[in-house]
Amino acid sequence: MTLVTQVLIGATVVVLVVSALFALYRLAKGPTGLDRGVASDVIIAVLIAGIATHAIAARMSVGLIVILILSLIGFTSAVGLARLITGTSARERRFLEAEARAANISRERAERERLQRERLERERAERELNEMEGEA
Amino acid sequence: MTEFLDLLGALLVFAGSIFCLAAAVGIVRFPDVLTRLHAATKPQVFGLLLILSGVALTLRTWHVVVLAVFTVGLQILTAPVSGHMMARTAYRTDQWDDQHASIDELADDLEAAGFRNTTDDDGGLVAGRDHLV
Repeated sequence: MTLVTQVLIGATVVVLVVSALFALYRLAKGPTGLDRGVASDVIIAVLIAGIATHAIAARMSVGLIVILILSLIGFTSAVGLARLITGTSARERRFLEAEARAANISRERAERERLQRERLERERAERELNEMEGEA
Repeated sequence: MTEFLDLLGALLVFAGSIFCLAAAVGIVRFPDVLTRLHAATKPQVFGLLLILSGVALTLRTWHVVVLAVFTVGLQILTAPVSGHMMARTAYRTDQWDDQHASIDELADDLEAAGFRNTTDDDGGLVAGRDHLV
């Protein structure tokens, strides 16, 4: 391997490390989850490039299977993230508050009904006791 | 001859890594999810094409060439899916910068179809609006 080729491979490695650091910065800072998903996609691409550079430098084609698998399923994380992200708009916040209030209301109503039922049972027990005392 | 091919392969891999660098600089410097997505999908297909061409030129066996062709084909099949899903989510949850976008054809199409983006009815920051719950 000539000197120029070796210098090029070294420059490739440096460039890929710098790219990965930039993508890590966006992964840490990204204000939304979608930014982080995009950054992770770029990191996967950098990873593929790194494995290919190793395949060139060491003249071993064993890493190409890994590249194949990465390109097959490397998109699933982004798709899953995108599918499950919802925005926290004001409309959704209102909906969540209304849901919480409805849960409170139903809980209070269940509580009230339970107390009423207990009171009715107590009254019935007292009435039975009075009847028994009346008979005796 | 072999050394020339090795040099060409290394040059192609270097070009592919420059695409990765462009994508990384793009996702750091661009202001919005959609523009960052535009930068980030470049190394996924074209960068990979350059890099795998370089690898196939350096390791000159048919096994490598077949694997490289398969990988590029599968990447072309799967990479637009992830980009599309992210852009769709960013648009629907209103997480993109629609004030600086000059053309929004999807909004025109949706209006013509009678659909209103339901995250539009709250500006979020209209004073007093949030107390009307």
